[in-house]
Amino acid sequence: MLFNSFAFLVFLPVVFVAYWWFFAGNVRRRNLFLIGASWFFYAWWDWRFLGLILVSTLADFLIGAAIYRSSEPRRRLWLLGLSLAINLGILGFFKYFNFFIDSFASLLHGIGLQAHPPVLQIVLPVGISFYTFQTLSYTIDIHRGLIRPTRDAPAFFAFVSFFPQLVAGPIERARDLLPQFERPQRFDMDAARDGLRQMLWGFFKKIAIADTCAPIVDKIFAGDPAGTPGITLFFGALFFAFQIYGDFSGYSDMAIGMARLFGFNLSRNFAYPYFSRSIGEFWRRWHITLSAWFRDYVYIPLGGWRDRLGRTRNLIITFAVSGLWHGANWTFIGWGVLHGVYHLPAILTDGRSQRDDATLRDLPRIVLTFLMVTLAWVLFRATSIDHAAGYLRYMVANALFHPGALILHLSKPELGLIVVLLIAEWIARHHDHALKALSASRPIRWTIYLVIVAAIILHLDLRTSHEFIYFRF
Amino acid sequence: MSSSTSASEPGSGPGALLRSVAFFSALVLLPLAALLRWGPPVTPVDYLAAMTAKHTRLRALPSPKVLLLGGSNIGFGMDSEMLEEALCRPVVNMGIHAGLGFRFMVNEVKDALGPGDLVLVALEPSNVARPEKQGDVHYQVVDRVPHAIHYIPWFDRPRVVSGIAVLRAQSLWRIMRGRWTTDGGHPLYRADGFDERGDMLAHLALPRPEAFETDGLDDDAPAVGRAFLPMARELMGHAERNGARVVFTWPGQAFTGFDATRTVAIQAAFHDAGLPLIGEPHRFVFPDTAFHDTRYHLRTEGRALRTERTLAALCEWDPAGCCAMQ
Repeated sequence: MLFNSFAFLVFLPVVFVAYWWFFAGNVRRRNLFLIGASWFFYAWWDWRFLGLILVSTLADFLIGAAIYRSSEPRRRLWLLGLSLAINLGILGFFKYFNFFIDSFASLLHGIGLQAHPPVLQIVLPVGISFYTFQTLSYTIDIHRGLIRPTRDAPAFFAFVSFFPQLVAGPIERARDLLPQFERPQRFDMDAARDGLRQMLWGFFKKIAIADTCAPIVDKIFAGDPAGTPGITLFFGALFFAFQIYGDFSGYSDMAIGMARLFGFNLSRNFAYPYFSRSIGEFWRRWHITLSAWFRDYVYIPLGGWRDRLGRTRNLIITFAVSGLWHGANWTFIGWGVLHGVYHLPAILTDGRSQRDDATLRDLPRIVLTFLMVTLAWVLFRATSIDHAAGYLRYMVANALFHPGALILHLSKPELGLIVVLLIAEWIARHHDHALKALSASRPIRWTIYLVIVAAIILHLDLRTSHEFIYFRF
Repeated sequence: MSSSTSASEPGSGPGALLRSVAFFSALVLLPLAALLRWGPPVTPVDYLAAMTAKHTRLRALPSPKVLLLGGSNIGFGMDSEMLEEALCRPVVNMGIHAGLGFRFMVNEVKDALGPGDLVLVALEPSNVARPEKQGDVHYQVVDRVPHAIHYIPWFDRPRVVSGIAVLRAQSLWRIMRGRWTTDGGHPLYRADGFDERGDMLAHLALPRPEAFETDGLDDDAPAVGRAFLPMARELMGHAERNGARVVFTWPGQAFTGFDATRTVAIQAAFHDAGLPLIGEPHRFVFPDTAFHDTRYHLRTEGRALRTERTLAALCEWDPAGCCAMQ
């Protein structure tokens, strides 16, 4: 079920009313209800894949308890390996089987051997990359002694399958979210209202920004780069930068806001990443929960930042794996590696990270960082490495300044919406989301909300089903 | 002890939030409701409004009669007058748009069947693969022909009605920006392009476009959708109870885009299910030049040839129902 679908428009109020009126008073019943609602939400796509969630959840619930009970280090390590094998095995089979087989065949072909490996028609279960990482962090943290396993099975199952964040995150840690399922929730009017505002902003980003940019991006990326003006290729990348931001951060806003309606606090996933002044800062602001996951469970175990060489190696490996997490294609790995390479100047000069918020004086560095990120998005969006290379080559070769194409793209109404987004988020950059900063009187606030709803209605594309990009990952 | 704020607690409970949301929703929904009543149409193209005339004829004709069911392949590509002469029964051509889906088409006609009626179904492969469509054509048809809402499953009606309101708001926005065609729409896709039997004739007088649409089904689509056979049996059962008969045939298709594998799979499924499917599929595949703007819209010669071949197959299947043979 998509958040931006009519079915969800019915689902959410029904679940909200049932939750607060009939189930919220008893933690166990509430969690069982949330599990049922979440599984129904997921089964709307394909009920058969519920089995995978069940296997992953049950395995980590049992393995987590077994790791905690065991005092034998080898047995604990073996149990952790079992959890990794189950979760990464599911992920590897459903997401990467054909990729690895194809790549292996290409490798053999490269050294002169012919291979005809089997290709399976595998459907990628929605959200598999998210919930497997979430459950994995649970067993790893128990193994590290950071958390104790829960004995409350419904709480754990609800933690894994909680519908607002089941299919595209934020990827939550057990230590943050699981306790919220183990204790009673009180309805918090201010949090719920703010949750609705955050959802509204998320819908705006998804429908008025991402979905309106999508057809422009699709058309430009589907064309032959050789015959396209460089400025058009540049705008294709630029619109994609906002499409993916609107799509994914919009989803995260909806998920976080929705969770607050039910009394749960999810982790922040985006913090205005396009206002970053460096690539390092960008990654502290973009898909924060995934970046933190890779930092804690890949980068630091690899050795972290002991010396420059090690740091460079570990960073490149971490970003390459992060790229692979996004999709079974060399373009994603290339995208990850490029971001790793982007970090090199900061590593080599021991650049210090900035924690304060950006000001207008930082504009040149913000623009430079944004351009670097946008160029990298070409790899992310392209269908192959060759496509990406051609796209980037012709972007520069085909007369970047082309007055006709420039005027055409600058006059696109979608660009106006992007400007509105940027202004609103710049004003609100010290807050969690753009509508939190509104301190005007109620009539003015409601007028603003109505204008946003009108923008959503006027840009709602009922002719196409606009899934969220990150559902594919 | 209840740990949550009581649902009935005024001012700060979930009930208060729901009241706020309801009030805000009313502010949004009232203008949308007004648009449903007074707003501009979803699209200036009035093509689907032709359904009203088709239904008027369907209800007015006495039994026995012949009903042609399918998408635009049958609306554009069948000569109903020729069929009438050969079958000695009045014909109503219900074909208008494959995007309506087979479920919709069945619901359109099942209450109008009487003794001696013959329903000839020619479905595009997309209708066999995905018989329960929920595409944007439903918004357009209900917008133009409000009673068409009855042919859509009840659970899908709220989506369609709210979608029409949204699309009308978008039409109004286009009008306000001067981006609305006021000439009645398309030179071909017009309600007045159909004749009194429901055949589309407007394209026969137009020059053939240089290129035609070859959009096919995505590879993931099954040849025969899970819901198709039960729907076909439902139509046949309904017809049988009312003394009518149903027979399936092939749409006229262009060489380009013709999917032989899919066709064989459809043939096998019909055979296994015991559904009457008449005509050899290759006899209904024509050169691309026989088509107008899509690979299903036959022009004059192809239309005549397809009707002849359909009649031949029909008369072979049921010689008694074919007065030209007698």
